[in-house]
This record gives sequence, C-alpha cells and structure tokens, in this order.
Amino acid sequence: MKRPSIRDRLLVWITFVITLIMAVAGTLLYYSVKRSLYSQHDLLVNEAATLILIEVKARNGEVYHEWQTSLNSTSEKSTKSMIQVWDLKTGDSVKSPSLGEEDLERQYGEVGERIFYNVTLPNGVPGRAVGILTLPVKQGIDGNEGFLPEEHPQIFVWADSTEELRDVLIKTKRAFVAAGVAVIFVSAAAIWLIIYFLSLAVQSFSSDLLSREGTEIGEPIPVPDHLPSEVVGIAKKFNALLERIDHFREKDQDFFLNVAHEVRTPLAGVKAVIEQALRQPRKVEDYQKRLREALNATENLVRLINRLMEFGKLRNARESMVETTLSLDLLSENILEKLRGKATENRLRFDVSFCGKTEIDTDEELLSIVVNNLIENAINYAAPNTVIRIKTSNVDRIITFEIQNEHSNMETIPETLDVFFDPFYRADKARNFVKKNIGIGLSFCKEVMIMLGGEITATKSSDHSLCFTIRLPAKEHVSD
Amino acid sequence: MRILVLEDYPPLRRSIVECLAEEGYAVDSTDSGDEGLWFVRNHKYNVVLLDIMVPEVSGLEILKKLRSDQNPVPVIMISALDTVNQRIEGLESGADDYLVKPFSLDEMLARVRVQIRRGHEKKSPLITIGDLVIDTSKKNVQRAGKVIDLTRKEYLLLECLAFRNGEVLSREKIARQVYQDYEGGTSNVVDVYIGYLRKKLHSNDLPNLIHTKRGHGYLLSE
Repeated sequence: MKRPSIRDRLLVWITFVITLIMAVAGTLLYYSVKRSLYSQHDLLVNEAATLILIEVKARNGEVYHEWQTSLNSTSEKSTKSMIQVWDLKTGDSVKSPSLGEEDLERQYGEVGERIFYNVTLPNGVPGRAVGILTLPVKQGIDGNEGFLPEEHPQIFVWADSTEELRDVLIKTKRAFVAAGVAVIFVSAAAIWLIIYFLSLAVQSFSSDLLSREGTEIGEPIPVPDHLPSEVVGIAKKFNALLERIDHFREKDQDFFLNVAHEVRTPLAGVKAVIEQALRQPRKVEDYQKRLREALNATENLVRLINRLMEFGKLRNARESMVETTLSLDLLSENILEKLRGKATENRLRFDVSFCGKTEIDTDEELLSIVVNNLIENAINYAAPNTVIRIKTSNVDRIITFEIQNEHSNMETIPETLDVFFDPFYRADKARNFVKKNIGIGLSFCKEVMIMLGGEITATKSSDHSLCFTIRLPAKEHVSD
Repeated sequence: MRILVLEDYPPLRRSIVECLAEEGYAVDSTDSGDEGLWFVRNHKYNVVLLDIMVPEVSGLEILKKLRSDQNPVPVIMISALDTVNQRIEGLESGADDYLVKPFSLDEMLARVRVQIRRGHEKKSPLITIGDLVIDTSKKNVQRAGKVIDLTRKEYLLLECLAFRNGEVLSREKIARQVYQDYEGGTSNVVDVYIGYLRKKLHSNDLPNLIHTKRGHGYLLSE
C-alpha cells in the first residue's frame, strides 16, 4: 500500500486553500467592482432622467411632453436614450423614436421614487432603466384651471444601453481569473520549494537512521541542530525507545547468562562426580553412592530447567487459564498450613489478619504459585524468632494481599526494590544452593500477576523489614 | 601441600575434595564464604580454589579482602560465569587463574600444580638437586638416572622438601603440608617417613641429601 506523503499532502491542501481563498476574494472583488460601475451608471441615468422629468408638463389642462421636442433636437439622444411615459389615467404612452414599435418594461414605486432595473432593449442589447412615478408640472395658470396633477400620474421610464459596461466587466473578470491562476501557480511553486528545503533536514536524518547497523541499537541517534523542533521531539522519543530496547536486550542477555550459569554449576557437579568415580576402580557400593549423587544433581538440574520452561511458557499461557471464583483468604490459609512446619523449624510465628471479603475470579493454580512463593520467601528470609505478618483487605473493589517480614535476615535491602523481580536476582549477592533458591520465583510471580490482570510490588518498611503486596480486582458482585 | 576448596554446590565440592585428597594433597573445604575467609586468614595454604558465587561473602569479595591483607596465596577462581569481562574481573581482583564450570578434574589438578610451582617460584615442573631429579607433573623421581619408586606420602614429603630446597622445615610444618588430618601434637609420623625416604634415596652409597638439624627439623640439599 502506498503511504501518503506529508509533503504531497501539504502541497495539495495548501494549494487548495489558496485557490479557494483566491476564488472567494476574486468573486467578492468582481461583484464589488460591478456594483460600483452600475452605481455610477445609475447615477448618470438618474441625473439625465431628472432633467427630462421636469419636461412632463401640464399645459392648457392637458399633459404636455416637452422632452419630445428637446429629444428630437439632439440627434445623439434620439439614437441612444430610450424614454417612454405612460399616462396611468388614460393608459396611453409617449416614447422616444428610438423605441420604434417596441415598449420598455416598466417598474415604478411611490411618487418621485427611483426604481433602477435591468432590461433588454428593443435592439436586443442589455440595458439599465430607471422607472419613476411622477406628476406633470403645471406651466402657467391659463388653461390649467381645475387641472389636478394628482389625477394625471405619469410613469416615466428612462433606459440606456450597458453594453460598454458589460465589456468592461468581462475584461475585469478575465483579469481577475488570470491573476488568480498566476497567484495559485506561484504559491504552489513557492510552497513546494519551502517544503522541499524544510524536509532536507528530515531526509538527511532519516537517511542516518536507515544507515544504522543492527548492532548500533544502544547508541542514541545524534540530533542535528538544524532539525525542525517537531522532528526533534520524535527523535528524542526514538532515542528513548532505543534506550529501552537496549535495556531489555541487556536484561535478556543477563537472563541467558544467568541461565547458563545456573545450568553449568549442577552440570559441573554431575561431571565431577562421574569423573571422580572413574578415576580409579572402586567398590560397587561406592559406585552406587556416587551414581546416586549424580542422579540427585541431575534432578536439581531438571527442576531448574522445568522452572525455566514454565517461565517461558507463561507469557503464552493466557489461553489455558481457568478462571474460578475463590477466596484469597482461604487460599492463603491452605498454603500457610502447608508451610507452617517449615516456619516452626525456623522458629517463626505468623500474625494473620484476613478481612473475609476477598472473593475473586481468577486462575487458582497460578495465584497459588504466587502466594506460595511469597510465603516461602518470607520464611526463607526471616530472621529466627521473628514474626511474619500477613494481611488481606478489600478497598474500592481491589483485593490486596500483604506479607511482611518483621525482621529480614538480608544484610541490606536494596534501594531499588524492582530488582527483586529481575530473573535470578538473589537477596544475598552470592548464590545459596543450600537453600535451593533458584532466583526466578519473584520474577515468575510478576509474570503471573501481569497475566491475572493484577500487580505485585515490594516496599521497604524499615532497614530490615520488607513488604510484598499483590493486588487483584474483586469479584464483580462483591460489595465493600 | 595444603589446599582450601570453597564451593557451595555439595556434589561438586565433595568430588573436588576427594580428587585432591586422592592426589595426596591435604584439603580443607567449606560451602560458606564467611568460613572460607576465616580458614584462609588463619591457615597457610598452597592453593585456594574459590567459587565466585558462594553464600554470605562472595568469592570476589573474599579475594579482594585477601589481597588487601597482602595475603599472596595462589587463588584459582571457579565460576560458571565465562564471559571475557567476568574473567577479567576475577583476574583483576587478584586471582591467579580462572577455571570455568564444568571443568575436567585433570585440568583442575594440572592448574593446581602450576600454582604450587609458581608459589615456589619454579617455572619448570622439574626440580633438580644434585643428581636428584623430581618431575612434579608426572610425580616421577630419579637419582643418578635411576627411577626411584616412592609411595604417595613419601613423594609428597620429598616434594615438600624439594620446593624449599636448602630451607630447614620443622616437623610440624612438614606435617601440616603433607597430612590431611594433622591436628598438631607429638606424632613421629614425619620422622618415620623421613627414614623411609632416606633408605630409598641413599642406596648404592650415594651421598646423603636429607639432612637433620637437631631441634629444628629437616632440609634437602646437596
């Protein structure tokens, strides 16, 4: 699939927006010019009409059209100006010779009001007309006695060709379109150049990225000074991502080194026992004793490998989870009972406080592994004659299980407690095969808790007291 | 020759100890870092086999403490950690050699012998005193070109004297180096074995090489 290019999109969209602006602005400007030209034309028509209008007079008690005489005396007016006057009382009309047999379209308002409108002149060209409702002007007194102008309203229409105006407007429109197209092309070219030069830094940065070798993951990408600020953010985030990948790679590397180490020691034991058995002839019982020792060492190795396999499978085990409703209190109590003997051997006492409302929907087997591990660790790392505190609670629909050593036998509790969940981390820096501590228990617990949708944390209560907490959502219908 | 083995994995520790003992070395062993440090600070060893990851005090910490105490005992680190950096860390902490698990017991013995020789500033496995030639790698003894058959204890006694050629060694010092369970006291076991050695070395009217310094002990010289 072809990915859209930001550069192309910017170019298209900015050009589109400029075109739109130019079109709207050009149209507005064109109509503004048109309106202005027409206004000017109307003004001239009005002035001419006003002059002619006073030539509709009342003489000898009749309406007399003096303008006809003046019109005939001016040849230009007779050809260009078209005038028609209707007597509303009689319905008769008088018109200029240029109209011939044709009539003008008439529109009018109140007396004296000017109504301007477009018309098509008898010769087929467009024109502009003004319609005025007027009353004849009485001229002299004789013969006009009893003549009331209000009883003889006249509709006066003056029309003139706007052909020249139309030509000017067509030229103006063409000029606007040409200017608009030129502006759009120049703008698009300028935008393309700006985007091209701006993207040079990004292109060079992306080339640097592509030229990196797979082995250079740990090294951050140098961020050039000329890189745009928007891309600097991405570059920094990318560097942060590289750092995280490197961190996880290191953790993976440590994990495999640790696995190799943990496997090698029992393997060295098996090898040494067999080699030593074969160094000289021995009695059958002696051989049997050595073979048993080698077998025990092999079983340790198998136990370790099984645990590692479980650890590896855990991430893909979500599908095989079996969810049941169980009480965390009850589950903890059962595990406590199993481990009570070991605690008594170490002269330890449990101080248990169960809240009684710890029903959850979860995989019992997996949660048992976590609780068992935490209690067993607490026993292994508790100083003799001390108390291990276990507490459950249900607050805001979150079930919490806390286990705390009153006094740990660890020499020092590390400042960063997250290391407890690193595979093969051991509380005492050196390994202790005597305690059969593999060192992946807490790491395993963390993986399980992630799968169960909960969390596990470690907190330091004092210099010698450590508390592990697991949290899981309560069963749906359980209220606090 | 007394050796200390500090390794916490019981099957491996037991096999190493037994192998060294069968080779005639006096061996002390422990699985605890604290105890190992106490042993090495309070006894004289010819070689220490030190696992890096042991409980309580790690092998590297023990090694650093020993070197800061100016204790020159040759130390062979035993570890499953085999990256170059880890080996460098071990060697730079003052180890004389580095053995990666799993290892062959024969290789371990060879490296122990190298360290013992180095401890006595002997570069060659051959020790020559007059017409006496001892091959410490093959545990073979010849005098005037003739092979002399010695028991394991007789050989260890001779090797102990030969490494300190010309130096008077007290009976107690000899006993501690040669006998696994020597706890001190007045046993004349050293005198008895010196007698056996003399008989085998001084036959055919060859000159005496083992001399007695009354009230002090024995020395081997021309």
